[in-house]
Amino acid sequence: MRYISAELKVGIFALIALGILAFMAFKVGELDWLAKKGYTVYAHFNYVGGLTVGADVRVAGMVAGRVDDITLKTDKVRLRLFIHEGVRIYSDAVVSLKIAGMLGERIVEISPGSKLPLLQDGDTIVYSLKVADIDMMLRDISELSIEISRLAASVGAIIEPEETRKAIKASIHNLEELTYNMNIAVVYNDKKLRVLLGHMTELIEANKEMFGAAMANIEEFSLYLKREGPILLESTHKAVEEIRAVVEENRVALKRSIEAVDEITDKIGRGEGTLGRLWYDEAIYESAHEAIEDMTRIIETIEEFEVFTTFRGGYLTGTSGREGHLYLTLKPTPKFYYILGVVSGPGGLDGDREIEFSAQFARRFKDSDKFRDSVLRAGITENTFGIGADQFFLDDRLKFSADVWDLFRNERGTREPHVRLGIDYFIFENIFISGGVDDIFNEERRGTYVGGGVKFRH
Amino acid sequence: MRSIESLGRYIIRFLEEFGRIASLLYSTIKQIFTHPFDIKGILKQMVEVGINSLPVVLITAAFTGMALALQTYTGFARFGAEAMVGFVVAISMTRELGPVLTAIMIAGRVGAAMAAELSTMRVTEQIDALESLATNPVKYLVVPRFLASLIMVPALTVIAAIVGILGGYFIVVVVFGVSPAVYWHWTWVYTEWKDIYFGLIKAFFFGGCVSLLSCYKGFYSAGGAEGVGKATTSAVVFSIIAILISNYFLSALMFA
Amino acid sequence: MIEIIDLHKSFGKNHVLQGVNLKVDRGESMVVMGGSGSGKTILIKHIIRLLRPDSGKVIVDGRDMAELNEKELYKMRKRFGMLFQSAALFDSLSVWENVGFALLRERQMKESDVKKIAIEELKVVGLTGVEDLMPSELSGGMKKRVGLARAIIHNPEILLYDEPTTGLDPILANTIGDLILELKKRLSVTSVTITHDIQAAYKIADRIAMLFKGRIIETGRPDEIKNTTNPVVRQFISGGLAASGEDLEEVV
Repeated sequence: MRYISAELKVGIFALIALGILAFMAFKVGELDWLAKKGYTVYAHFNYVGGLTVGADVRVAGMVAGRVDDITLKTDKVRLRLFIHEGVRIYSDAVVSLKIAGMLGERIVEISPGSKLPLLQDGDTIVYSLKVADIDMMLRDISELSIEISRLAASVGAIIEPEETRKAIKASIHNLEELTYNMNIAVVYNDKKLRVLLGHMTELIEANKEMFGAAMANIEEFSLYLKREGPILLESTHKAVEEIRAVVEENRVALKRSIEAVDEITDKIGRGEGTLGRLWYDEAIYESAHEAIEDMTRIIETIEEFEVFTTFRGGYLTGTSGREGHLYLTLKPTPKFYYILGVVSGPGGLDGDREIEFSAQFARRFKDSDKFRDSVLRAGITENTFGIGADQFFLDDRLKFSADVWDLFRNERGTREPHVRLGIDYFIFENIFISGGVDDIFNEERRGTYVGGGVKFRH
Repeated sequence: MRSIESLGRYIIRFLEEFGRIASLLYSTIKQIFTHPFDIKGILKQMVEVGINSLPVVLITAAFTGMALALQTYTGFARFGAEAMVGFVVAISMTRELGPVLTAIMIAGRVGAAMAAELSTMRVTEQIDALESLATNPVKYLVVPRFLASLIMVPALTVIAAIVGILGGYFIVVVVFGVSPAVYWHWTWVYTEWKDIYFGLIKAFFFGGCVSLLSCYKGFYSAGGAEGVGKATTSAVVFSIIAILISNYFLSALMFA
Repeated sequence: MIEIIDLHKSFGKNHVLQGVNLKVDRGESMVVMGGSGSGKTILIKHIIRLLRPDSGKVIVDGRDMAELNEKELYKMRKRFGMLFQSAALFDSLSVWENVGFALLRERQMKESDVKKIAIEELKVVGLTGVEDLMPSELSGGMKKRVGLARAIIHNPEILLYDEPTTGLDPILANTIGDLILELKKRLSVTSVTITHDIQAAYKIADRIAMLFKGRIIETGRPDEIKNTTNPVVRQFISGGLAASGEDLEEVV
């Protein structure tokens, strides 16, 4: 073999080492600009929750770039995003922060939009969603409550007709009994609740770090509440006041039962951190810190007594109208629970909006092997007696529901009971989409509905 | 009284030694910038430090990467994070094991040779001979070794890092059957330029440390053949201790 | 040419040189004799400032060696050539590279030219065909001769020989002695030789100095030394090679 000079050896060695170094630098993204062409766009966020430079930017789940720079402007965080050539982002694109991977890797997700013009180098993505999309959810809630408030005004009209009044009389009698039962249930659980909440507080104190992420979300939530809360509250107050006024005008029994409901919510409120408190206690807004603590407690309450609030909105093709629901689910045990609800939706064919009440007793057959995911419901459905059944799948992510009510309907065009079949699917822990067929036996009003909503556990 | 005296003696000796190392470093750096530049000597040492150390560094790095992957895999598989092994291997190799293992190998292989060679030259009057031939022995002997180590230890570290990562790849992908794409993705997604860069700073520092200490031990040895042995042993021991201690402080300084 | 004035040097508690005074004239061959451990090598290393005196002065060509800065020192050293006791050839270099070392370091010539000169220089010391060998392949006498060739290649003005004949058989020692003598004639250099080989000393010395207990106790021409009355010197001469510092001490 020919003699290899030291110069040659060292030269080859150096080339190999430099080659590897360049390869690694390229791989960790330092030399991205060398290899990939692209352009830069900007996005602004209030809060980036631990996002780091170099994080992926994804479009439809595909890596489409990286976060080049994160700078803190006066009140916002500005992200500089490097987008690979060929990835089209339109002017109505929405940018959001997501958590991907089991280690909670923060990434930036861009929903590219469709409205021309395309974004150019140096442009800014105008629409940005907050971390965990809580802001979005709250906006929905806010809208919904305004809806409710608006519709509360027409409650009078609902109760006006004689036959409706009769139906209500019966319903309210049931409701009275029901609320009485619930009252007992709440009182029974009140002590337990307090003790458990005490434990929870301790637990949370001991695991503060663990709840860091939750806290961050809650912080965002509470900040939002601080800002949007008054409107929400005002709307809700107005709704409740109006409902109360209307009811007082009409029937003493109704008033009594509503008062009983009030009492329940009061009690829940005193039981700390539930709806009652959320709505009535001004102190919650006084300090963000307190709010955080309460919220954390709310979120983390893991025990028998569960309270869920469900907001849901949908679109009915049959009557071409929007429909809004607000449910309060009180779950003293996993086996049986109560559902209280206010529903606003398109009224008869005349297009008026009406508000209706629901109050149901539900029984879930947890103790049965075969029917552990089945629920039977009975009670008042949208102002009349109704029954329903739910079947859960996929650890309760998927729910098939069937509801029958208005059994002796006597409306223009139909005498058939109101039957609805529907599916709810939780795409995230708190957000679901739903769809189904409404008013199956009523040819004129039959239609599909699509929608979605949010469900909170307190 | 006597023990305090001997303590004082140790401290003085330590300070003297430290001072001599510092002054050797000073004259080394001064000689680097003194004309002429001995490119031939440096190349020769680069071959010795870099290329001739390649096999031992490669073997060490590959098996370390493999062992690391094996252990991490076993642990991570328990909570389904097999894919993350690549990242753990990558970051360990670039930040910590690459520089430290390479430097230790260099200390054992090259540092020992440097100390032995220089101390032999010292006891056989070759260093005096250099002086008598109007040649600065620091420039002729220490500078090429020092410069070669400064350049070659980082270069070897880069190679060690990638070989370690490939070792991990072999275990995770070939042996345990994780998808190659997944392994590569996770290897690079969290590894930052900083990890590589700081690893190289460490390696640079270690290279200087090992060569300076080994040359020092050889250069100032005395006492014939026995002195050569002593110089060699203590060069390796001191180099490795210096690597491990300075590694901690460098890590704390850079990564903290 | 070389003047050593009241030179003191200690290593730890060992006071090796205790005030050495020695003067070497230009063109003179001075041989310093002394027993093993008398500090001869220490003395010669001071001349070229491989060691620095604790006190006293070494003056070469009118300049105090201790006061030279590094540049001046190296310039001064180029006027010296030194043959070490063990030849001190560079193990990592071939024979011709050893011989041509000074020229290679100067970088004034092409390597091939240096090699030619080195081969010539090796011929001067009586070696041929060894230029591409490594020092480890040479015998002791050959090493000494290569060392000599290395010391003289740059035409030094002053040659220092540290035990040039030690460890060689008498015939070889004689050859080296002849070589030194020849060089002296040809190059007309000033030289300082350290030895305890009396025969060699008589052969090459213009003057002989006797180092004992860290001092020069006698200086004179070879015939003066032969007929000295100093008992220590007499003992050393008659004791020949075997005489050591300790043995001599008894005589005093």
